[in-house]
Amino acid sequence: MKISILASNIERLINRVIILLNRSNFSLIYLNISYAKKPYIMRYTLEVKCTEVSIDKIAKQIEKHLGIISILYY
Amino acid sequence: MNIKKYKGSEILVKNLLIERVEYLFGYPGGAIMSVSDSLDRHAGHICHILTRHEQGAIHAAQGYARVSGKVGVCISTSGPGATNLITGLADALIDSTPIICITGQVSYNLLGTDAFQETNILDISFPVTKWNVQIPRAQDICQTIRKSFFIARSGRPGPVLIDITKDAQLQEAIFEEILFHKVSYFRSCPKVEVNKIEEAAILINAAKRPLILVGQGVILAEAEEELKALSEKANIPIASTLLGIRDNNHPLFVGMIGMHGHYAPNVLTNQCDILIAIGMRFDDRVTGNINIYAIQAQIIHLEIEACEIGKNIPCDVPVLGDCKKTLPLLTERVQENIRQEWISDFITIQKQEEKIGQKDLYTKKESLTMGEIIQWINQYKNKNAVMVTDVGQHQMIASRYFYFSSSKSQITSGGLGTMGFSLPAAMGAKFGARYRQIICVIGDGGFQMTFQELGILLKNNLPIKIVLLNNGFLGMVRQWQELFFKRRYAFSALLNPDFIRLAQAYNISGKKIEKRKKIPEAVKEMFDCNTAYLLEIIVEREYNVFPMITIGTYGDEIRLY
Ligand SMILES: Cc1ncc(C[n+]2csc(CCOP(=O)(O)OP(=O)(O)O)c2C)c(N)n1
Repeated sequence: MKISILASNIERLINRVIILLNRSNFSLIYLNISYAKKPYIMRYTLEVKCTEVSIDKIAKQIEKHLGIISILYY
Repeated sequence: MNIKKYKGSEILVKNLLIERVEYLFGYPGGAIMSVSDSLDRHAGHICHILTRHEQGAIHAAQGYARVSGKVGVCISTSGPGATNLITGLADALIDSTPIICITGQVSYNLLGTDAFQETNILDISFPVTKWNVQIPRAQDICQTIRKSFFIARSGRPGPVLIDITKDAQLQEAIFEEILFHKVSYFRSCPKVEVNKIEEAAILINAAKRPLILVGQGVILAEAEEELKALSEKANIPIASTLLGIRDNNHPLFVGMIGMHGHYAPNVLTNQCDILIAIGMRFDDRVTGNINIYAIQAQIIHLEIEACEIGKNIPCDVPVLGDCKKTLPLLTERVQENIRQEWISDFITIQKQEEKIGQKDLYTKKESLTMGEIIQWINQYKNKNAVMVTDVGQHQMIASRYFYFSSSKSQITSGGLGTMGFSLPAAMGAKFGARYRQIICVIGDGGFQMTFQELGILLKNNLPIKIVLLNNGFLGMVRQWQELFFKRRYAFSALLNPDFIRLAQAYNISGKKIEKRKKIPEAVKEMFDCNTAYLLEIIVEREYNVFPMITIGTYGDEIRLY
């Protein structure tokens, strides 16, 4: 599954995202962090091994964290 | 113009005062000394309670928060002081307790050098905090402290850790009062969707056998009256989780659900047609096997956190939002109803349960049961007493038999099941509710995890009542060994010290009781005493808590004996 997250540029926010993925033993295949078009906004692009049902639950948990603007997965 | 500047630690304390922090629990050390010093300078307005271990400090802050509804605050130094907070953070996160932990940190330029007492507490505490942050400069203190309090108490409350470097405590900066109503990119409380409430009301109005399950969410939202209004209007029985609301004076409260819960609500969960879950999260100790849990029922879930909906149990109608707001909207839309038959089902099963209770409360055996002691406590306690329990058999028995008659009356470690929680939490609770009686029910195992906190009583006269139910075992572990491990009591028997002499060493009066006829007098004496008191009661060694829903690999059924 691919996950695309828009987030404000808070330090260590990516840690929270990865910890949530780790907790459910999703293996991370790819991770990229880059500036998005707007200032102070970052884009995380991830690819993980997991099922659609499980990503659905984790996405909601990621979304509630302070600094996460939006999350998409496909 | 000359703008006055203050030391970072001074600014920190000023912010705590603005947040109306009256008590904080802590332990000093090298990296937090400047803050301790500033706190001492403001001793008339803010009271620093010295615990004997940082775990004690955080549990005390939790007890304070749970009983008062305010944010609990604790402080500790860097390194070992910070790591000692982890258990409490995990406990507060899973039990949604609003607390702020302030930890010292080595100076900014020493970060990453393995400096003395440096530990990377931010990365360690990520999974166990709602939010955490480091303050490396004094000028950031005002903003960060106010923001942290806002986050800790908003939405579903939780613990926030603030790590403040030594140099930030010493630098000078300007103090400014910042107001916080909103943090950007933070969904603290979802918007209420009225169409979902209407959908829920239609289901409830058509239901013959609806059941409400409440969790701690209703207490945190202070929505008890709103809950009762809904239940009374439509005559819907209310069952509660371990941390939920209980009111023994109210006929519609039918007891506790879960592994060791009351029999009637547990049995009838599997017969109801609509399950209205409010501020609870379908923990596995509540549901047992989710494949057979309430599969006949449609589920309405009132929740503040979107990720809890459908997490464990599929939900038919999600009602997101603060239940203080959603409950009245729902009550407006449900019709009055009598539901005589459904209510009488509860009464019938409750009668059957009383028979099980006979064994606990009126035993014919010589040895004492935990249940009969709770019964005597009910007899002599104040009406609005707060019961703080530890973790184990006594916790389940106390929650089952304690007579609840006012709100915020039970404090216990629910989600994490932290042994050693209760003694410091009881002390914190006494600071949070000076005029309520605090009863700490604790096992011989849990007592020995944090009894160093009796030291708090040396300086502070806190008349808390400690009831130590001594069975000479880690009782809950022994019960499982008896049931599932062929009675091999591996490492669960305890060789205990003389608890009464231990209490005496801390100037605490106490008594040890072994005979049934001595109990009433001893319990009365404990409550009459106007200082702290330890009542140790020797109870049956190999007693089992039933009914019990055995879960998972052990099969799924309610065992009555
Ligand atoms: C910190 C911690 N360690 C271990 C456990 C596992 N545990 C759960 S209940 C229990 C026994 C508790 O014994 P005791 O305090 O004597 O209470 P009793 O069950 O006898 O009432 C243990 C060891 C726990 N919950 N918490």
